[in-house]
Amino acid sequence: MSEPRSDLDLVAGARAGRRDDFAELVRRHHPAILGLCVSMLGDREEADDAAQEAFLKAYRSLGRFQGDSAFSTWVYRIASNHCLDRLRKRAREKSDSLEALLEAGGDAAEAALGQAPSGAQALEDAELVERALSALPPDYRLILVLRETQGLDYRELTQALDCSLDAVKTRLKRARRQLEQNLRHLLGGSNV
Amino acid sequence: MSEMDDLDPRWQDAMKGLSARHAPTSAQTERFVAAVMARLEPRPSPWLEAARSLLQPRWLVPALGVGLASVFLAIGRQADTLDMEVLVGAASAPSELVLPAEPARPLMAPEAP
Repeated sequence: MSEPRSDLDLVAGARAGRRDDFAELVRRHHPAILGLCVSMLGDREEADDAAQEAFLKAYRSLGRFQGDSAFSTWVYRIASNHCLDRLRKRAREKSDSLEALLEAGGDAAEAALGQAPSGAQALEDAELVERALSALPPDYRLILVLRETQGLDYRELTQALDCSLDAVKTRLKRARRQLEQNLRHLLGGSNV
Repeated sequence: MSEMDDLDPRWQDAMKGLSARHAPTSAQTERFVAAVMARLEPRPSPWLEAARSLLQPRWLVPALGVGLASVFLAIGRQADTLDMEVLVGAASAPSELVLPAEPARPLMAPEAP
């Protein structure tokens, strides 16, 4: 059986116009990119659309891929930026609506955390974490998803988020702290 | 990074579980691949891509700014050394006076029918 082709080899093929090579790249990285988009956006359908857009952007920008990072990290970066753009747009639309006026005193976090049923402990941990994640600011959510769910190491995080190692460490620490606060809130103040 | 900064193992496991929770089936992946491939446009020409990648480096815009500033500075320095007398002389030189052919006729008089 022949060795599977490397991502770099497939990128070279796609650059040369071989669409099948790009299809193989999409096939390989679809689960990870979809996972990132679902965790960031919450809605499966929107996530699917965002993941498609991310791959289309990647295809259009293949000429700019230098190979300094892994192809997966590069696509993570594109998908992350795309999800953040969508969240910003969503926030803008929300702030334009009457709903935003009514919610002016509270915030998204309060809304998400407020949905916790009284028997929150009965919820599965994954569901709790998902709810706590959705109440985080987008940049905290992003770094936690990339690190804890997608398993990127610190070097990959600096590449995917385009920031220094110190910035990654600081943001990650704050994000973890806030996630645990949210989880404590969901569990009604019991030990986390 | 110290272990103090890590999430509680319970939540770490839950976070890892999220990827499995959202994992697509192979049929969903194939549908996704087909959808992406159907939306692909022809890739831009290599020339366009080369031009775009030239504009990509972060140093380019500040470098262009510095370059433009130095050009303006050079022009400014040159202007200081211009002979002001020549300029003043040129500005105050009497211009040629053109007299009307028939001085008695009003300048703006309408043409006779």
